[in-house]
Amino acid sequence: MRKQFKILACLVLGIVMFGCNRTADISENAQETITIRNQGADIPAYVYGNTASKTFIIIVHGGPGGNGLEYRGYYSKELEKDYAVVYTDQRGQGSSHGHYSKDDLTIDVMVTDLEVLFRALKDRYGADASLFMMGHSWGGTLGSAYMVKDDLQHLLSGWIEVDGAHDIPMLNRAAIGMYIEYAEKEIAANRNTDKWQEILDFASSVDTSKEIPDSTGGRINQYGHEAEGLLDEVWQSDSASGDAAGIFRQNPLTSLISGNFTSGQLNAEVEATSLTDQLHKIEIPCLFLWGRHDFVVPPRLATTGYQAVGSTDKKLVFFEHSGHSPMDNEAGKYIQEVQSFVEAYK
Amino acid sequence: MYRNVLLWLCCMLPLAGIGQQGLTKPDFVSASYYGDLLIFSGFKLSAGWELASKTKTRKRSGKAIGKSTYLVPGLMNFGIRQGQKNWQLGADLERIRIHSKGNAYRLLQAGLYGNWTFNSGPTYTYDGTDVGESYGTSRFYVVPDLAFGFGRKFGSQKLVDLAAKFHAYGKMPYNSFFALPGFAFELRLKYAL
Repeated sequence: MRKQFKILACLVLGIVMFGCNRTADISENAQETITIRNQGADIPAYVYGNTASKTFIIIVHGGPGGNGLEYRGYYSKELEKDYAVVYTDQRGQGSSHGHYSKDDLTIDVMVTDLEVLFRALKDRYGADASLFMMGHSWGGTLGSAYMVKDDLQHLLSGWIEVDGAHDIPMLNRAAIGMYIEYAEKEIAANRNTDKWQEILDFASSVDTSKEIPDSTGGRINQYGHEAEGLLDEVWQSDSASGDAAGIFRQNPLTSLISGNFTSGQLNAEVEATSLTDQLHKIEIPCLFLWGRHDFVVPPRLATTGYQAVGSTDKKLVFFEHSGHSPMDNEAGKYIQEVQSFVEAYK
Repeated sequence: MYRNVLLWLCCMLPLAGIGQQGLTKPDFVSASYYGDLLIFSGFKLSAGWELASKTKTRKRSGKAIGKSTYLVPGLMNFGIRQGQKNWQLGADLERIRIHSKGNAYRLLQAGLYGNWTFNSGPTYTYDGTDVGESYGTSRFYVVPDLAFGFGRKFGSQKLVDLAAKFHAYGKMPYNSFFALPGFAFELRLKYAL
């Protein structure tokens, strides 16, 4: 009986051990997964594209509650031809799993997760690999927190901030102002008057001179997505977005359940996050990409962020026909801007 | 500490069950497809020992209803293609209700499994100085499982049967503080010994 059990155990271990590819996939069409183990969490990162370029764009997804592979779309597949694109999950989201306490589910710990990922990429693909962090929305909050912590920014060659929320209290106040401005204009033009009136009533009821409670912050976010859909100026995505094959690398039900739990747990800390007065610490090249009609993270955060960073190599680009996701609304221009930035600083 | 206890429980339950039966030949062996038919899939191998059995005859119709309880240790492997792989070891208690004259039966099942979730590709750690790389890295979870299903026996001797089972389980504690609920479908081919 004992012998049979040993044989079975060896068989299981053998399948697991030898089923893994031990060398990095260095090619123009790589596709592999690595996992980061940090402070109790195991976090997968999916590497696609041209790893031979030694240039990596690491996408830090939005949410909290999203996942890395939901960002794999037309724009990123185009970037994969020239660079490797890394779609990382985050602690408590996507397919990440582990054993840790609620105390380890904080922005500060998640910053260390990113640090381990960046060090792992350099270990696997070479110390000379150029890394660019691209954070979107909540990924911009987390990315900002990473950039201002200690000396961590110098693991990167550049930072691409896409409609990222480095200051949530400022975001909420700016969104309220934007709702009122757009609602009055749209109602006067007799476009979607019922919905805009609802948004105007909500925005008018929020007292921006006081601290905005978490629950109101949630409604501001919700209306942001709805308002964007009411505007003719915002182009709908004309390119195939999403990755059908991605469904075979991640369980969407698991991702949804994990994300919801984690989002709820992080909410209070996220709503209080304000990093504007620390952005001056950022010295590496920065690219700010923003949808002109983004209500979720209003353009005011783009201008304040751009002005506040200490880097002299910085650029701010507004997308005139985009909302919260210019990578989908104006993919062509988005790809061009990212390519020219990466080529300049890789 | 409690995790170690649960680990041992999950590992030893099947062996203890087999041991209690005095290492007798199992009453059946089975192989199953296990998955959700879309995202993750795998297999399950198990064997069953009958723990108790009784037959009731209905007074009015004269029909006999047989109820049997089995201890069913099982080994499962499933995962997402190009994603995480799972090995699961444990045991179920399975209750089967069948007409004495009929071929069809229905079943209820409750189980406790230990789950090892293996990461895809290399796993990296950082100790503040060096980056470490390892392969075959896993984490252990406890998985309580409930299932119901329907089956039918085939052949003149009724040695072979096919059953469809629907599972609901919880992987716990998944990501620090919550159990991850999930669902799975099992198609089992069973052979009576």
